[in-house]
Amino acid sequence: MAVTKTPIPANSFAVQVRELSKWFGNFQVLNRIDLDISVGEKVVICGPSGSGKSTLIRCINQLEPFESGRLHVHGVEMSGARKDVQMVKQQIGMVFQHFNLFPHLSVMENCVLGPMTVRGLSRRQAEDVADHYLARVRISEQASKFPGQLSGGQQQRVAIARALCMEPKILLFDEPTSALDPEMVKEILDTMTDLARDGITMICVTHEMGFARQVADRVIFMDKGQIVEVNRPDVFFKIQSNERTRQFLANLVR
Amino acid sequence: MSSGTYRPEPLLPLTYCQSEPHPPAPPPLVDRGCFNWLRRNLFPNWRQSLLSILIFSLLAGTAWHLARFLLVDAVWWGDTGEACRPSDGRPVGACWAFIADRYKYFIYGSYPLDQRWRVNTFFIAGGLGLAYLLWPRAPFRRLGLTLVIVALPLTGFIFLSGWDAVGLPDVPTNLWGGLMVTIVVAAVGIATALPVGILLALGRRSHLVIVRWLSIGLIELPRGVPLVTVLFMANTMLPLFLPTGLNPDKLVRALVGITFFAAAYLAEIIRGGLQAIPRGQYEAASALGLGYWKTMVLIILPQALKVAVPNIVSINIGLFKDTSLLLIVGIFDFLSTIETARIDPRWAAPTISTTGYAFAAVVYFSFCFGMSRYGALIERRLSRDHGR
Ligand SMILES: Nc1ncnc2c1ncn2[C@@H]1O[C@H](COP(=O)(O)OP(=O)(O)OP(=O)(O)O)[C@@H](O)[C@H]1O
Ligand SMILES: [Mg+2]
Repeated sequence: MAVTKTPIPANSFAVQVRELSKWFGNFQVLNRIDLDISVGEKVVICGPSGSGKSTLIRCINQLEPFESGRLHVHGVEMSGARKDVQMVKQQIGMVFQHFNLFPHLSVMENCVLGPMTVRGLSRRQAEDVADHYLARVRISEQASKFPGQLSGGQQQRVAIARALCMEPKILLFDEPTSALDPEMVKEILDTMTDLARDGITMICVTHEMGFARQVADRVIFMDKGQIVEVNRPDVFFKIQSNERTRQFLANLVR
Repeated sequence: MSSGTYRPEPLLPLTYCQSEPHPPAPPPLVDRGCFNWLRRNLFPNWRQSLLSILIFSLLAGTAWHLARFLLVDAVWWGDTGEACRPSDGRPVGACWAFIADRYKYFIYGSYPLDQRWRVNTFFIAGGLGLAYLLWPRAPFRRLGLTLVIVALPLTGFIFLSGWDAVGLPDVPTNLWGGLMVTIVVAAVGIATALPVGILLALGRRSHLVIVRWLSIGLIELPRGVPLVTVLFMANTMLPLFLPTGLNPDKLVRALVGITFFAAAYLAEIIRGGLQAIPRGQYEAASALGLGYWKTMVLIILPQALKVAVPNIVSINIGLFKDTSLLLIVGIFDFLSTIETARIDPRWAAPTISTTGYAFAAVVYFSFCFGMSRYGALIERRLSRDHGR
């Protein structure tokens, strides 16, 4: 199998969401979401628990179907032809709150699995790629260990490396630090800050406001399945136009 | 218990700051001698000691009776039942001469003499396959495992029944018998039941309604009736489902029955394993872009099967023992050959039946215990390989 890459269309939006709504049964989780994210942009999504942040980024990644609205990723309609969707999906990596490493595979196997089976690289090539990204997240020396033998922070770095090995153009993070001990939170945030220097598009659900201030191009506040406020971090943290945003930030102890 | 009056520990200061860390120390020594082990585990106090002695004397009595019957009073040589009949008041134990005389029948049944090399070849191939399975650092593990567990029994079956095209004369299965039938049926049963069980388990969790219903039917039907019924049904009803003219062999029909029976149980066990896999594993696989089959084969099934190994081994042990029911549909398995031989008038003697059954018990036990140990070995290997 040849390594195929769809070129990013001239359209410079990584993600375009229009009027996206989603229901779990009768409960509306997402209510007419509109959102444009440019290629290379770093976006932080925050909001109270249950506001639909995870659901939104899981929709972008096709982990959740949605009932109405439109979603384009790199200009490709995500409810369109299956082949195109599959191709675009490969360009979206995801890092989960609970790492979701494959416990029966070593760190190296976790990293080469996707490149070998989906991107069609040979084991040799895949291992080179994996070596590169494991070094990038500073965890090369653990390559032959199994996930169960690593600390939470190390596991999350492996999970980031695993996502990077697919060489995605968009990286989604769903609360990547909230299952970690405070000491490890910093190592993950540092890794993410380091990644942010690349041209990759990053969409992070997180409540680490220090990270948002430092890295984000825009901060999005969600509540009750709706986007309530979007702004540049310097403005967002100084003046909130919406009462709910203000309350939310006041309740964050940071 | 300590005696004397209670003296409080000296109080600790309320605040404390370590000036120097404690150096690491070796763990305290524990008595590991044999004598200490005995005392701690069998004779810690007089009540337990009494119990231990009682149980030991019961065991020793039984062991002595068994040893006397099986070894001391046993008859080892002889050509007819005459050798095993008690004369001049001498007690007669197991008649091993009978087993020695008929062992070929117990192994090959009535398989033609000049074709028995095929059975031997099959046994040798099976032995090599087993050795490969036990080899801890074997190369090509995944391929080898499939070959030994799935391909070997199936090719073995064809090899034994014959194939005119390659010059192997047909040996009709009504001539098969004995241990070879038991082993072939169990091996082919395991080889086919495991994949079928996996497919049924996946089918039962499928989003496609038709697939799900079909799987539920194929799981619940054999599970809801005794194996004997399944065997009868396979024997009489299977030809009805197949196109006319295609009349499968009796052994094949029985095999289909046994396979579906075992597969139904395996499917439920594997489904239990599948349910133990957290949703995050599916999501991580999907986020990497893996499709359904790749997700299942590479991510989900290895973990689910690992959880299910002890139960899968139990089902396979059950399948091995259930082969003795094949007698009911007229197939001569190992136990039936013993049944036939023990009423042979040439070997009429009082302990023949007991000897036959004792021999059967030893053979069944060695196979089943072997499978059980192999299962334990797989469990140990898997847990070591996964670093826990
Ligand atoms: N599979 C599901 N079935 C039914 N309801 C769901 C499901 N997943 C999420 N929900 C509901 O949808 C709402 C939004 O969930 P979501 O996980 O997107 O929230 P969140 O903003 O990520 O919250 P948190 O900060 O706690 O992670 C919640 O009320 C949740 O109970
Ligand atoms: Mg969430």
